[in-house]
Amino acid sequence: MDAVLRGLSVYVFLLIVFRISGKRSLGQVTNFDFVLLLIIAETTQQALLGDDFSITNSFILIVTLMLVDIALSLLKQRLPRLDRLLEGTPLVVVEDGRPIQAYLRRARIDEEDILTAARGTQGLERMEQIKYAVLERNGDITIIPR
Amino acid sequence: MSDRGRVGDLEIDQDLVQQRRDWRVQRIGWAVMGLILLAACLGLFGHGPLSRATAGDGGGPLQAEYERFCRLQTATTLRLRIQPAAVRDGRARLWLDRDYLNAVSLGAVVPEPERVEVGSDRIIYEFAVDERGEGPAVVSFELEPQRPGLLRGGAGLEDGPSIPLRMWVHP
Repeated sequence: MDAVLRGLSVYVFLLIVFRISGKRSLGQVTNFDFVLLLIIAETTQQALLGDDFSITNSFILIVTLMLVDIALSLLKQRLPRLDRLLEGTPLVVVEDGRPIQAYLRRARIDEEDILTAARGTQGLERMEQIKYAVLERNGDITIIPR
Repeated sequence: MSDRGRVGDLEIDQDLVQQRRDWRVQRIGWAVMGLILLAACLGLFGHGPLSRATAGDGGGPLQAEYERFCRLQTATTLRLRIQPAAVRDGRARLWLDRDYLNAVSLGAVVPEPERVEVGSDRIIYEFAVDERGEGPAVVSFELEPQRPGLLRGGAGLEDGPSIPLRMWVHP
């Protein structure tokens, strides 16, 4: 019982914190973001396990986390509204070569991020070659060339 | 879905109303995280000025110092000050609620008591006290709360009034 509650509360807490910190935080994972993730994992581990280091406890926790994840994915499939709430929606940030500054600012990305994605994924050279750039739900920037 | 939205030529599920709401919620979320951090620094989750609590009136024979906010299965100290007036024949006899002791796991008691007596609703600790000193004798109980939520208890001198202890145990 204790382990299940621990698992559930940590899952919900992390879900909320990561949602609040926004797409930008984990979309473009830098080396430092990666280190931060490791630290978060390490910090969470203590709270998850408590002082019970038995295999049984870890099994219960793993099953709890996996089952919550599966249940949530099923729910999201049934309820598109919940899906949007938890995962967000995609956002068009460049239209016909023109970056929409207001969106860039609020989504905490800049033109350089878009050009990086354009070079990396499409081999494009200039902003005007981009027809659309979309900030996807997972934080990736996808580029449609003209 | 056939009613998927469009932006120009893109078939995309963009929703600016939801997006703006998202951003707003995010900003509020950041503020809340800041407040949590501030509360943590002030001691709302233990270890800080807001957390320090005392019980028992200053002029009385016994005062308690403890942490108002503590955490589950994390050590905290209950410190009891025994005024010289409460010492008889070089002995001070204190008691702690049994219900209170059931909700915590008791670690070290410093100094070690001479005797421990088990009563029906309380446990009595007897300490040898050097009566030549001027100030109070201080006894520390190291505790680890074992249940989350409000933890009430009482402590006192054997014939004295009960000093209420109220702690909140964060899970």
